[in-house]
Formats: sequence, structure tokens, C-alpha cells
Amino acid sequence: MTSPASSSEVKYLIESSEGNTFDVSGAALRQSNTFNAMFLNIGADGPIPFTDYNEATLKKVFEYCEHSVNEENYSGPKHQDDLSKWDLNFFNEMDQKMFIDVINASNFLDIERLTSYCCERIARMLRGKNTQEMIKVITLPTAEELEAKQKVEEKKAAAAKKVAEKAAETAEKTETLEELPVQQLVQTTRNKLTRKYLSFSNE
Amino acid sequence: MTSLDQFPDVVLLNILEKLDILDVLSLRKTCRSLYNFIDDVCPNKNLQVIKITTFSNAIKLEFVLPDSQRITVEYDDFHGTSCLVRWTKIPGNPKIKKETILKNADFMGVASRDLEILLKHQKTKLTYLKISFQSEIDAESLDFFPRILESRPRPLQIENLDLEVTQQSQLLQILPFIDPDAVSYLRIERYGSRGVVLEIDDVARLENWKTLRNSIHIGWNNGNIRDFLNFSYVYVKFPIVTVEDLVFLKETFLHSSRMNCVYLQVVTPVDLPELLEAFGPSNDDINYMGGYRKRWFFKCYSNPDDILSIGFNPRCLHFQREN
Repeated sequence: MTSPASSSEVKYLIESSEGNTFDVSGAALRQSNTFNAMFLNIGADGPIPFTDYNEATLKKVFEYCEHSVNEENYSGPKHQDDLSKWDLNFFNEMDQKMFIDVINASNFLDIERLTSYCCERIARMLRGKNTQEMIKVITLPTAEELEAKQKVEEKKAAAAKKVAEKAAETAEKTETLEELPVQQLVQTTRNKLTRKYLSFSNE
Repeated sequence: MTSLDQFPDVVLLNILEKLDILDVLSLRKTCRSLYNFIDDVCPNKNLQVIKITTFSNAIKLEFVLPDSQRITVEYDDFHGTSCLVRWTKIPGNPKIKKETILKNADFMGVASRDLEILLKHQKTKLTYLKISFQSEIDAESLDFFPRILESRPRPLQIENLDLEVTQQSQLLQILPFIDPDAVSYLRIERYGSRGVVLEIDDVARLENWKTLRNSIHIGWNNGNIRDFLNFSYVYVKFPIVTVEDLVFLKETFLHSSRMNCVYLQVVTPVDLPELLEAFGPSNDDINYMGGYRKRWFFKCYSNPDDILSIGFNPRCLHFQREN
């Protein structure tokens, strides 16, 4: 680990659950109260292990910290309009699982601003809704439901494939049908001719 | 399983603190784990105003959220077996009321349950609480007030408490269970015909009553001025007051460093010659309404810079500390 110093140039190595390491600037990392309490003053040898969280999650968390370094006195958005384009992109890029992981990591790292921001995001999803609407927002599918959903999707895909195959076959048949009269004509003519020649030869 | 189950308690609490009471109560009904969590932590919802009006067959509950939304919920008795709940929200159209009928439910039970939940989420001081008993309903059937107030881990703090009652027993259901130190203004009026005097002798004996310190405004009552000497501002109406009581009030005022103003209204005129004998000769002047009044001035013992001014006309006495 690089020795701690006040310069924002200083980089720290972070270790994720996969054992991968990556760089984070000191200024970004100092937004984490957990880091401040554990490592800022005493320092650490080697990369800082935040091994409860995967690399993608940690990178996402520190991406936010890096971005917000220059907005020290920021108190969080009050309305939907307060969200900057960057903020909107930041949240929209995440799927539900990633969002949950980011909140948990932010809570563990004690990054007040990000935690509060994420909580506000969730609060906005719930605000003004009745119980039934809230259930739809917060319910996660169970493993069985996921499996069932996957099966349904597979079935749908299979059905779609069948339909496509059928369509292809029908198209082929149509093609043959279209050709049939001509072929039949040729064949009939050929048969007639053959019969004629045969009859000739018999005569 | 919900996505919220995957968060630690700190995060969940953070989310709940960002929602208003209506959202929290809706969320509470989404699943068992959230129901338990919300009942366990009871996030503070910081309501400013609650008004409760009880009628003989209905209860009306009004409250104002921190963002100034006003919610009104009415619980009506419906054919004696069910409870009709009507709900409006302002801003919004007050004429549009959401209605639901809860079968086999007692309107008082439903209202008390909702009130209990509301007060569980009130951990900070309530700016204004008004409880109005608009019927001669028996106090025992409204025993949910003491039950709810008593079940709190610490007494409810109210800055301005406004009570309209029909009988003393209703006051006894509220006053013993609030935090007296938090009350800066207490108003007590009798609901209904003006001529009837409210009995307050049991109330005046309460421990909480003796520790109330700030302002009181109380309508016709059968108490004595000695019951109000702990307040710094008093507005009170009595059927009768004796010169002996007035002398006692004057002496207490002169010795007190806390009493600031006592405004007394009486039905039976005070005996002026007797009062002149007790207070000594008076200065006469004209009050702001253009009427003659008698005035006395006394130097306070507690602080010689302060003067006690007493204004008198036969049905009204005004004791005021002047600096």
C-alpha cells in the first residue's frame, strides 16, 4: 500500500472478493469512514482487503466516490430534478442485484453520502404508493420462481423456434406447391410421351 | 422475499426515515419481516399537529405531516356492527373521500389502533395536540387514551395542548400521562353550554398539574386561584372570587419571580369596598376600551425593579408584572 498522505495523487490498492486488486485515489477512499477509522492513521501493508464485495461492486462504489470528491458540501438531492445526468446514468447502469450490493458495500464502508443517496433512490420508488404497488416494487423472485420463469422463457423460446421452423417448412412447402403444377405438367407430358412412344414401339 | 430484506437494519432505518408516515404504514403491510422491523424500531415521523374529535358515534382524527399535507380520517359507527372509515388528503380535493367499511369492527377500536400507531412514531415534541370530546360520552368507553399514552416508553411531549371536554373525568384521562415540562400552553374549555362550570378539583390535585409552569387558558371552572399559582401566565374564569383569595394572589405574585400575568374573570362582581380596604387607595384611569378602571401598583419583593400592576373592574382583574 502506498503510504498515506494528504495529496489526492496518492493511490491505494483495494482487494476484492475475487482476489483482484485495483487502484483508488486517496481522496475518494477518505470518504469511507470505515477506511478512515481503520487504515488512514495506522496504514496497512499491501492491498486493503475489502474481500466481502466483488470487484464490480467495489469499482462502482469508488466510481461514485471519485466523482463526488469535488462536491464536499453536497447534501443530497431533494427532488428528482436535482439528479444530475451523471447521477442518473450512475444508477441506471446498475441492475437490481448490483444496486443491492452497492448499498451494502457503501453501508459497510460507511460512505454516508452514497448510502443516503441510494436510500433516497429506494424511498422514491416507494413514496406515494399503496401496499399492493409497493409489493410489486420490493418483491424479489424466489429460486423456484426464477426457475419457473426460466422454464417459461425456455418454453417460449422453444415454441418460438417451432413456430419459426413451421413457418420455414410452410414456406418450403409453398415453394414446392408452387412448383408442383409445372413439375406435374412436365411429368404428365413425359408420361404421355413415354406411353406414346411405348405404344409406338409396341405397334 | 423482498429486496429490502437484503439490507442491514441501518440502511432500512435510513430508508424508513425518508418516507412519511403513510408510506411507512403501507410498507408495514407488505410483509411480515418489515411489519416486525417497523414495529420494533418505530422510526420517528415528526408530526406537527394532531387533532382528535370524539362524538357519540364517531371519531375524527386529523394530522399534519412535516411537508404540510393534512390527513383527515373519520371513523363512523356503521349500523352498530361495522366501522366506516373515510379518508381525505389535502392538498388534494377535500370532497374526494376514500371509503372503506370494516365489518365486525368497533369504530373506537379501529380509531384507537390507528392513533396508537401514529403516536408510536412520534418521538419528538408535538407542536399542537387538540382533543375535543364533543359528547357526554362516558369516560370509561374512551379509556384508550390513557392506555395509549401510558404505554409509551416516555411521556408524550406536547408544546400546545388544547382540551375541550364535557366533564372532569376526560381531563383525567389525558393530563396525568403527558410530559408537563414540555407544555408551554395549555387550554382547557368546557364543550357545550356556556353556563355550566367545569369541575377541576381532582385535576388540580394531580402531580403533573403542580409541575406545569407556563401558560394556561381555562374557561369557567370551580377551582380556586390557588390552583393556578404555578403558572407564569394565567387566563381563568371563575363564578366567584373572594377578596381573601385576591390578597393571597397579590402576596404570592410579589414574592414570585416566575409569575408574569394573571387575568381573572368572575361572574359575581368583586366587593370593591372590601378590596379597597385590603389593597389601599387606588389610582383611577381609563383603559384602552375607554372604560374607567382602578389601578394599584406594588413593588415586587423578588425583584425590586419589577412592579406589580393590578387593574380592576368589577368582573375582571388583571395582575401584570411591569419592568
